[in-house]
Amino acid sequence: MSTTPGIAIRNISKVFGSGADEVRALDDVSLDIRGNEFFTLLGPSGCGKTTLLRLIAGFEQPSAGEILLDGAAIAHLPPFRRPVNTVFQSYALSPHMTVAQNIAFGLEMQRMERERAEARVAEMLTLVQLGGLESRRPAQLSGGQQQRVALARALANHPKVLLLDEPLSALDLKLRKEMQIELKRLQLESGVTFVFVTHDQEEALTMSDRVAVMSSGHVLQIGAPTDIYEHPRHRFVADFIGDINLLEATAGAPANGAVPFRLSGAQTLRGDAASAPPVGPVRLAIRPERAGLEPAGREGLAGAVDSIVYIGADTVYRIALDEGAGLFMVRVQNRTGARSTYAVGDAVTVVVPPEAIRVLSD
Amino acid sequence: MATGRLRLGAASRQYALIAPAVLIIGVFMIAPLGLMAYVSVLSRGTYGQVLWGEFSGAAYLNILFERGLDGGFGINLDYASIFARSFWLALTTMAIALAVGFPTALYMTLQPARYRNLLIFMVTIPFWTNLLVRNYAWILLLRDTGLINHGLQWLGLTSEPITLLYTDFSVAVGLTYSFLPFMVLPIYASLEKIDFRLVEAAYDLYASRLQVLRRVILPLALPGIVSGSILVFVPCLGSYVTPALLGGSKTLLIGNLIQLQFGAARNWPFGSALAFVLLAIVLVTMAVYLMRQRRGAGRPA
Repeated sequence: MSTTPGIAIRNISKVFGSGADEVRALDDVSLDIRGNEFFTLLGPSGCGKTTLLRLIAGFEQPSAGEILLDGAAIAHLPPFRRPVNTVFQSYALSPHMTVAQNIAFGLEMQRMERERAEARVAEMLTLVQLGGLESRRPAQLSGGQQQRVALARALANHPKVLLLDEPLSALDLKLRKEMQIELKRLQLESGVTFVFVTHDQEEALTMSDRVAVMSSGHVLQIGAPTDIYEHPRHRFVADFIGDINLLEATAGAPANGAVPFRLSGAQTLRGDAASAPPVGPVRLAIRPERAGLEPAGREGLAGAVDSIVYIGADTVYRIALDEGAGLFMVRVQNRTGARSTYAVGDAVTVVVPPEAIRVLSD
Repeated sequence: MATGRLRLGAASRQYALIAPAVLIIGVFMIAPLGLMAYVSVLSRGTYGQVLWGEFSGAAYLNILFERGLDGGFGINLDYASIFARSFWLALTTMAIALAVGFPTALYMTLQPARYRNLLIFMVTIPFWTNLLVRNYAWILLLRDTGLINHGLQWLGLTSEPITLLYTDFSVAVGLTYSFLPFMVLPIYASLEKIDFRLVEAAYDLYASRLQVLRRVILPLALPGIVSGSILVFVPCLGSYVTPALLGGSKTLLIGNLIQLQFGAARNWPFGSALAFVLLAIVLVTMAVYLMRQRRGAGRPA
């Protein structure tokens, strides 16, 4: 992995409209995307992720800030002068051109000799496994095939950076899973930096080297998928990615290597002293699969089974904690088949290992 | 349930929808056209009356041939040259209308949605004025003592008035002005349908603005350009009022020639024959044009 950043976003702001209609889509965003990295911008719609992608592509101009590509400022360049290509959400294939003409378009615009361009098109068709379809028109292709053409058209130019704007959102679930693996393969084989925009957290976790979680124009956390999932720092990040239990608690003074967290009732959780929270009110985040269920009377949080949802590989229990401390989700792997150990209404104990408790910073 | 009821008897309802149009076209177009076709193969009497029942191909022959003093036939290209001039003028008008209309339509497409309807309205404003009034307005502008010549002389660009009125130029200007909306609106309709992301994609793939126009926008706007061109070309070819008012006696066009046969010349068979030859030429031209268009669109390479 190269040491110089592939793309450096420096204090970028983007404001749309003016006066009362002013919308601040990006607010002083800075981040580095490394060379040869699969980098994902993850967030709900309206968080600014697509705007950031369009700024890198050159379709929008930043209101403030600088974009560097391999150290050179590119924010002032029009899209056709940037060594960056985009795969659009709607694919944006030219309906009046064949598959081969679509893929060759960028090469033709760069005045590549015909023979070299034809060889490159053939190479791309093999890469995206569309051999034999070169003379079809986009309307004659399935969604997944159009997706592959859009990828081939962008990659044919050997860009330094490939921008992907929610390219899988129009595909059905099975195809989407296939394309996730396919995209990762293409990224590894081509060695191109991928910047991927999505609102689908699962997509982000499965493909990315690193993920930036965005919300209302800000980047909240950047890290590897495991980092984002296991160590969310913000409530928003914890809540947006996967299911999570968020609990209000009061941290006590550490004793014997453990921190007592007292919930809104009188129940107490034992946390790792290494998390070292300040004494006072804190917000805790616990993944459902990290907690366990034991019969009533064990050490942990007492409650009663409120609902049971069977989801195939796992079963999710919602436990109504005693003393009105709220609902707590526990996700248990179905190792013994579909038969549930507990029934609705059963008194149970939720067991939370100390290392599974995350203290959020806001 | 509502859809079920709508579907019940849908076929007969659809016939009811189209019936008035079929009736009007049938009674008021096909029937007179048939009558004209009939007249065109009849003989003309000495006093200009139509001799019903006396068939003759003379009207058609007279378009290209004339009977010499010795009784033999010689070729007469006077009428053919009127046809040629009419075609030339209609083509020129179409080309000018396209050159003016395409950028106009493109500009309209690029405006925010809330302004576009206003712009469409403004394009159609000339239709709100009577055709004659509009043509007389052009006379006031173009004549030797008109606004344009006054302006040129006031600016010192010319010392004497330039003859603008009663020329092919003034006819082309008048026709372009009259038929411009027929060019702008279909092109606008096809431009508006273009997915703007295709333009962004082309920019992204290193196409300059000109290349985007040539390789993406023009091909996708082609259906609108074709229908706009047809809508301008065909009425121009048969136009009558504008050439009569803005064109001098030297610039006789087919429309005026045909009118002349039904009016002053009192030669209905010849007028009908001219009208049918014009119709045949238009139909053949369009058929060839559309066939080439279709073949071009279906071409794989």
